[in-house]
Amino acid sequence: MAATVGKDGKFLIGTTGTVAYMDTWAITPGIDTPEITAYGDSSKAYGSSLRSWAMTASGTLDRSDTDQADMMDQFEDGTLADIACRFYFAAASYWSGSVRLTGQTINSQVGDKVSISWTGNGNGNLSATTS
Amino acid sequence: MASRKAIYDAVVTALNTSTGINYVTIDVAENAWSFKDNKFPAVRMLDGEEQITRLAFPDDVSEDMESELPLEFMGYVKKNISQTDSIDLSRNTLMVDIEKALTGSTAIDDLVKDITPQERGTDRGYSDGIGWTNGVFRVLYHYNHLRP
Repeated sequence: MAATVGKDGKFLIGTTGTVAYMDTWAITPGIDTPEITAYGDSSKAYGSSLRSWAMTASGTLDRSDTDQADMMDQFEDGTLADIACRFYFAAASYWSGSVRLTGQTINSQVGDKVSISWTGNGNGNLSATTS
Repeated sequence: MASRKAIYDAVVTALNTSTGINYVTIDVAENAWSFKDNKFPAVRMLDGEEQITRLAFPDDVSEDMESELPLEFMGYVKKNISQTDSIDLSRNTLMVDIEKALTGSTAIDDLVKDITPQERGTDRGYSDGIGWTNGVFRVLYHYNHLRP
């Protein structure tokens, strides 16, 4: 086993659509922990209920890239639907799941490249595949 | 595909194409005070310290690296008996000619994402009939890490 470095990553939609010019992705899994403290307990107690996760991905705008265009299409006139996403951290190792997009930010500054980013919520489980 | 050398070559070509510039050198050892009179106005180009960062995850993109390349130049003018222009005016004219050549070149524009003047100094010194000026252009370009 070796330390993981970011350069070996990528962000895909579907199973083969590498979204071009991405430089960052993040996933934030979480678990709801309802309080189950009962009379007589000396400390608060928590249980576990539902898993959830959210994602962000960002990079440089390339309108001609079909996979970037598919993401942008949801915020323009496309059909709103889940997007199957894969977040690679090594050549054949990744997390995957369906995403409902919640936001898109495009930022242009004179003298710098135009950046684009997306945020979304996981719609279902987050799965891990490692090789 | 952009590369440091391709950009540098295009810059030299653009300067050589300018009617206001009679000589372009990239040789740091070449002494401007030994230039023949017909080589003025002259320009010496130097590439500065390049700052490189990753642009994107390298899989499936042709340009995954981003570089900021400072292109530094020294401009030399010489006053002779037939000239009516002052050294200061000649230096300023040369500065303008350099900027026009570099920012107006379609060949450079095809290779880089952006080229902008970053520093300009029109009065850097005068000695033995030669006045000089200097400046820096910021060049932003993208390339593939396997083809630097």
